[in-house]
Amino acid sequence: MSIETDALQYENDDIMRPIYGDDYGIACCVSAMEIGKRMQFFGARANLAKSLLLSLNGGIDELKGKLVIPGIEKITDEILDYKTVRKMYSKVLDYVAAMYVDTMNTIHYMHDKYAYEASQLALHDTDLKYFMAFGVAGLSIAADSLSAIKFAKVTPIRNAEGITVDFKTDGDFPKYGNDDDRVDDLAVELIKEFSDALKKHPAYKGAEHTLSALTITSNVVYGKKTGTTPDGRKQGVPLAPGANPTQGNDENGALASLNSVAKIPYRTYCQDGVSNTFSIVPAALGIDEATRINNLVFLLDGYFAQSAHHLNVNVLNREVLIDAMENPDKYPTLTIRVSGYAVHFNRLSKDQQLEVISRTFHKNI
Amino acid sequence: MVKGKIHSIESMGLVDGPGIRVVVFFQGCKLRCAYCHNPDTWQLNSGIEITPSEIVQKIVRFKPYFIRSGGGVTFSGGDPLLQPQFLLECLKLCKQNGIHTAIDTAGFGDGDYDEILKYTDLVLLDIKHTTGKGYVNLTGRDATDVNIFMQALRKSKSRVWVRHVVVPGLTDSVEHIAKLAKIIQDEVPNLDKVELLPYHILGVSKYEALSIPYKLKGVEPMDKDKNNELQTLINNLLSIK
Repeated sequence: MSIETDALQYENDDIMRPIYGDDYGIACCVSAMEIGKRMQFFGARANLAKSLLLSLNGGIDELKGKLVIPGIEKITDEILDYKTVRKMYSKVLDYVAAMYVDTMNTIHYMHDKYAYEASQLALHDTDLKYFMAFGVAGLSIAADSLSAIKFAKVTPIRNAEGITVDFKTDGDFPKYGNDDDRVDDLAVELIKEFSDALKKHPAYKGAEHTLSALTITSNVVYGKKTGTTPDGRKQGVPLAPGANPTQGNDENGALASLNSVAKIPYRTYCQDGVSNTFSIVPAALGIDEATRINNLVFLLDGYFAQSAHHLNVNVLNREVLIDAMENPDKYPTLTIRVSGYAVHFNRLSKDQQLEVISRTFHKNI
Repeated sequence: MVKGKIHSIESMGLVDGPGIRVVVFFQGCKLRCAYCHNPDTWQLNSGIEITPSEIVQKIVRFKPYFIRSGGGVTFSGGDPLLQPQFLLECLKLCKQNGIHTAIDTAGFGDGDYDEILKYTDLVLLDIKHTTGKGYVNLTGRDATDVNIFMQALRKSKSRVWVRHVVVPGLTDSVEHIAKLAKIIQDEVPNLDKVELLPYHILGVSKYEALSIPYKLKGVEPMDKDKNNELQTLINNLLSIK
């Protein structure tokens, strides 16, 4: 069905069932919930990329020049030192987590007060279990930026007010999405730290804190509000969606990309969902229909065998491919391949990528 | 430890042998096929330098995908036979790690074939053309040397898939495919499959980037349906399902 409709997502029952039992459903994108016995207080997400910039700028918003987080010492080093930055980042994340829980508590208290969903809740148990669903955006940007600071030499370029507005990076650094533990571990550490930071603060109605790496299309908006980051991303450019690697940074093909995402821990930490989107043209899935179906099954099996949580599979037909040409940012990890072809897709310029996409659909594939 | 030059590693190869495979693209090729979609692999002294153990360490992490699908690694390129010592080390390490090995080659290398084939489970053999003249026109090289590889292949236990690129106006006639079938029947041992690969134009932008003139400019991609017909024909001629 995935190959025919390109509109299915898959979630790993093996890792959800031990926590939720057999009678759970998926609510709100990717979140597991025991039917009739649990509800979720939804809460969008925190911008991990922007939080990193705040830690470099003494808590000052890099776009507005205003102080938003008190008590953060400005970093004035000529070359960013990883240990210093990471310590400051922890301070910022702590503050953000506290504010996030407080904000969510306020929102949901007031929501219950003025817009209680009486009819839906009549179908639920009286004594419900509650989740408060926090989220993160910009995981790949944060991980790659930390990697740049740790493994390469990053020189912040500061404006007249001392705010970092750009970066000069010398040397190579491993990027999230290539199955490289050096940077993937940084992402895992970040998720665990933020999750723990949230849990320090009690939630409304004693709700259990959960975390997701899921953005739907909000990654575009968050990107607009985030300045230039140390990983090379320019101000205003969309963040990668969910737990996806940053487009262009995965250089070893889709499985390396999947391997990186599979490391983000579901149980205990990211229990509201780890979202990954994967797009491929039918010809790259296999030489004929039967092979394509088998290969997709094997892919999913291999991915979920590593305790990964979620995969949104887009098998692109011609019409959708035309959309990909016009909106390449909507289709991360787009795999276009034929037998023996060494792609290096991500190393092509945007124009060249669009050209390859259009050639793929020159009549025949 | 010997070092090699590679172009890239594709972790999700679904059309490069059986199952899900990691494809390692080696640098270096003696041929200059007119339809080549990897001209960026032609030069031996280009690409990234890497050791066999570094490559195999990466490959081993994808074992969960191989086990279920009957996949493994495919050494491609370029032509992997052009770096025999490096290829041999890679193959040995893969076999030590229980990984199914395949090489994607036209049979043009630098010797050591017997040793290499000992550790190769499957050869994806690219038969370029059916006549000596056709071969030279297409690849720029005389076909004679391929016989050296074929002799080694006949002595070995490696299974074989034959691949052939079907180009409109060049290699797409029924007569040509029938002739190909005869050659395969007479010359190729341990045959499991024949894949006719339809000519495509995904690689053309690479020529522009490298400032190399593209010899097949203006040739349309091979029609999918016609290719399927030829595939059915050759399968029947060789009694392959």
